[in-house]
Amino acid sequence: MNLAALLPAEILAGTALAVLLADLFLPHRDKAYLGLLSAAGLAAALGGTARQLAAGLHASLWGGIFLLDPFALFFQTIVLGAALLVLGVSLPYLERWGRDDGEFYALLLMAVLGAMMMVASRNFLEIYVAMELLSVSSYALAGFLRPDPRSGEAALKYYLQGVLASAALLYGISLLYGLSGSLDLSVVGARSAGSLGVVALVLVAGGFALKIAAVPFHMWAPDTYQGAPAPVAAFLSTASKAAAFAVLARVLLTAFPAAQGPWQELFAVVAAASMALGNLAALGQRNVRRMLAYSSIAQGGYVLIALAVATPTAVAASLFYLAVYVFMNVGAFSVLSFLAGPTGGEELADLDGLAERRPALALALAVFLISLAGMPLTAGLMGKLYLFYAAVQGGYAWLALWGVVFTVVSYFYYFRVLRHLFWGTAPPRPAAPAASVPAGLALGAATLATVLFGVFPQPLLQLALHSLGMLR
Amino acid sequence: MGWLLLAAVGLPLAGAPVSALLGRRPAAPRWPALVTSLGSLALSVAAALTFRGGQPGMQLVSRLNWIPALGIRLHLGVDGISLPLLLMTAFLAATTVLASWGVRRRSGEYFFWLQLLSVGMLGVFTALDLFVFFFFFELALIPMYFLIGLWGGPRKDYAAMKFLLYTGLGSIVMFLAFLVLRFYGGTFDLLTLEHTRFPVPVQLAVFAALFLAWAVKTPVVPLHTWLPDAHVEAPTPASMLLAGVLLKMGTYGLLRISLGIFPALFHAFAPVLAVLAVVNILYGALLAMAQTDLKGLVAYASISSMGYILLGAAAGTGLALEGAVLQMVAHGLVAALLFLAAGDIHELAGTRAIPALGGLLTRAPTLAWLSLLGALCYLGLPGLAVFAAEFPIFLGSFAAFPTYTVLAAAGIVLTAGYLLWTAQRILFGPGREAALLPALGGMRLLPLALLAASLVAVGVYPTVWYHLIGPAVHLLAWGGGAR
Repeated sequence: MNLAALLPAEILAGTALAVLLADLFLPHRDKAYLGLLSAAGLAAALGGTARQLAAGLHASLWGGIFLLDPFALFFQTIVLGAALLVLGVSLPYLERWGRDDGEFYALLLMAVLGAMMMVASRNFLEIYVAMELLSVSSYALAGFLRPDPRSGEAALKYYLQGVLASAALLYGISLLYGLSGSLDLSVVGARSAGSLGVVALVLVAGGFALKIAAVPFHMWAPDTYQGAPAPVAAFLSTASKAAAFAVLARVLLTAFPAAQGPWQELFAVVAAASMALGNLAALGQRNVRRMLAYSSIAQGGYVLIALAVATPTAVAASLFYLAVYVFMNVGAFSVLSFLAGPTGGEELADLDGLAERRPALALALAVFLISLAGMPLTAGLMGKLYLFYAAVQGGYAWLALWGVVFTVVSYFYYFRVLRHLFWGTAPPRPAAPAASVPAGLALGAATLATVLFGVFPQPLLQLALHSLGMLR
Repeated sequence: MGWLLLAAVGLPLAGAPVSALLGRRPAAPRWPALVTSLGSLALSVAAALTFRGGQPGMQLVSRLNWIPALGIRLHLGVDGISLPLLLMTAFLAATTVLASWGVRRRSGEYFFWLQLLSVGMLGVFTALDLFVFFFFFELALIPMYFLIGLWGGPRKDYAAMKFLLYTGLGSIVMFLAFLVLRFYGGTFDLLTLEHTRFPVPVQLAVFAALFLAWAVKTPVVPLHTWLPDAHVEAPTPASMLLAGVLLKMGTYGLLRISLGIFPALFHAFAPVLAVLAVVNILYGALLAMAQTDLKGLVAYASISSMGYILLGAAAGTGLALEGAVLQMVAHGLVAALLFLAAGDIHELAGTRAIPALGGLLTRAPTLAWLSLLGALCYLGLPGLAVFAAEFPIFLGSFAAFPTYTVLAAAGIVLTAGYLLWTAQRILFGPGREAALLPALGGMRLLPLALLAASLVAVGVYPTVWYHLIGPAVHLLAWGGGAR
C-alpha cells in the first residue's frame, strides 16, 4: 500500500538512476536519448500523480511520516509539470552549449524527487532530507555551464546562502525538537508555545523563505537566475519556489495555528517588502533575465499574501497562482534560453525587433509578460483576482492595495520589453537557432495554458479549492 | 435576444486572430476587420431595433456562467444609457477600419490590435458584472499601447508608456474597489449592487477610488496630462477611438457605477464635480487656444468638451443627464471626425502646424468643407449633434448650478473663438505649406463623409435619441425634480 502510493516518486528515482547508469555507456552522439528517457519518466510520474489527485487520494504512509493528500498531490503535479516544461527547453539549450550530458537530466530528476517528497512530508527530519536533495541538486544544476564563469558564480552564491538557510532551518528544527520532543508536524506545534517557539518558527520560516526568494532572503536570486542555465533558472523560480511555499504553508497552517497572529503579521511585512523591492529593482534592469529575477521576487511576494491572510480562500488562490505562474515564468525564461548564446544576448537591446525575426517567440514572450503583469485574457489576471480578493476578504485590504500599486509599477518594465520586442529596430544579427520539437512543444503548451486559464480559470480554481481538504 | 450583444462583442475577438494570421499579405488583414466591424455594427443596430424604447431598465440581457467559484457571470445587457454608446462605438469601430484602409506596414498586427480594442470598447458598454466591466476596461489598454507604440508619431515610446501607466493605475484602483464591493455586497452583479447598502466608510473609500479611475480616463484636470501626449502621438485611427470612445468609458462608469451604486454620495459630491467640470471646460479651452499642432488642439478641445458631460452629470436633472449621455455620443462622433480630418490634412500637407497651413478650401475642397462642418458642430451650431446635446445640458444644469452653468457657457464662446480662428487660418487665405497637395481619393473621404452625415443625422432629429435615453436617466435623476 505504502509503496504503491509512492509509485510516481519511485518511477522518478528509477529513471534518475537509469539515466546515470546509461550515461556511462552511451556514446556522446546518443546522449539525446537520455533526455527523452527522462522526459518519459517525468511524464509517467506526472500522469500517476495527476491520477492520484483526480481520485482524491488521501493516504498517510509509514505512520504519518508522509502524507499524500490532495494538497501535496497538487504541488507534486505543479513541480512535475514545471520540470517537464523545463526539460523540453533544456534539450536544445544544452546541445547548443555542448553540455548535453546525462548528469543534467539525472540532477534535474533528483531535484524534482526532492521537491516531491518535501511537499508530502509530515515530519521535520523528512522535510529537511528532501529539501537537501532538492538543494544540492539545484546547486549543481546552477553551475552546470562549466565554461561560463557566471554560471559558477551563480552556483556559488546560491550554495553559500543556501547552506546558511539550511543551517537556520536545522537549528530551528532542533529547537522545536527540544521543546516538543517530537519531529512530527502534528505534535510539534502544540508543544512549542512560548517565545523560544517563536524564535524556532522564524528560523524555520527563514530556511524556506530563501527558496521562495522572499525579501530579505532574496539576495542570491538575481545573480543565480542570471548566471545559471536559463532552464535551471526557470526551474528554480517556479518548481523549487512552489515546493518551499507548500511546505511553509503546511508547517504554518497545520503545525502552528496557535501562533497565527504573529506570523501572519510577519508574512504581511515579508510579502509587502518582496513586492516593493522586486518591482522597484526590476525597473532599472537592462538585462532581461535579471529583470525576470526581480520580477520573480515580486511574484513571490504576491503569493505570500496567502500566508499573511491565511484563510482557505487565500491558500486556494496561492495554489492557483503558483500553478499558472509555472506556465508564464518557465515560458518567459525559456524564450530567453533560445536567444542567449555564449556571448550573452539577454540585454533589452538584444530583443529589438524580435517580432520580425522570430514572430512565434516574440508572441509567446509577449503572452507570458502580459500574464505576469496581470492583464486580461491571461491567467495572471485571474491569479491576481483571487489573491487580491482573498486579501480583501481576509481583512488585509491594505496588502491588496499595496499589491495593485506595485502591479502598476510592474507594467513599466514588462511593457518596456514588449516595446523592444515589437518596435525596436536592431542591426541585423545572426538568426536565433531554430527551435527543436520538444522545446516548441513546451513553449506552445505554456503559451496555450497561459491563455486558456486566463479565459477558463474555473476548473483549475475548483481543483485548488478541493486540494485544501487537510488545511482546516 | 441576449445573444445579439454577445455576438456583437465576440465577433471582433474571432476576427482578430484571422487578421493576424493573414499578416503575410499586407492588403489582406483589413478584410476580416471590415467584416467583423460591420457585423458588430449590424448586430448593434439589430439590438437597437429590438430594444423597446420608452422603458427604463436593462433589455437584451444574457447571463452565462463564467467563473462560478467567484460568482462571475458573463452578464451583458443594455438600457437607454448604454445602447446609444454601443451604437456609437460600433459605428466608430467600422469607420476607423475604413480610415485605416491604407495601412500596409505590419497590417496583420495592426488589425489584430484594432479588433481587440473593439472587443474591449463594446464590452465595457454592455457589461453588467463588475469584473466583466473591469476585464473589458483593462483589455482596451493593451491594444492602444501597441497602436500608439507601433504606428505612432515621433514621441510614441513616451506617449504609449504614459498612457499605459496613467490609465493602468486608474483601472487597477477600480479593480480593487470592485473587490471591496464584492466583499461587502456579496456579488459582482451591478444590478444587485445597486440595491445594496454599504457601510459609510466603505462607501467613501470605494467612491473615491472609483472616481480616481473615471477621472483619469475622462480625464479630469489635473489628471489629464496623458491625454495630449497619447492623442497627438497615436496614429489617426487610434486617436479617433481614444477621443471618441475611450474617454467615454470614464464618464459612462461615473454614471453607471458611481451614480448607480452610490446615489446619495454622488448627490453630495455633485457640487465638487460641477467645479471640476467648469475647470475642465475653461482650462481645456484656454489650452486648446494656445496649440499650434492641429491634433493637440483637438486633444485639448476634448478635455474641454468632456467637462460638459461632467457638468450634466453633476446637475443631475433629467434634462441635464439626457444631454450628458447624448453629448458622449455627439462628442464621440465629432472628435473622431476632427482627428480624422487632422490626420488627412497632415498627410496632404506634410505638417499639422497651424501657422504653416492655409488655403485648404481651394486645394482640397471636400476635406475642407467636411472639416468645417465638424468645427461648426463642435462649437455648437444648431442642427448639428453637439448642439442637440449641449443645449439640454445647459438648460438642465441652470436649475442646479446657475453660476457654474454661466461660466461653462463662457467655454462655448472660447470654443467658438479658437475653432473659427483656426478654421480661418488653415482653410482660407493663401496656401503656405511647402508640400504640394496630392488629390485625396474617394475612398479616403468615405469615413469622413460618414462621420459628417452622422453629425447631421443626430443633430437634425435628436428626438429619437432623447426618447431612447430619457427613461433610463430619469431613474437616476435627482436634481431640480422635473425634466
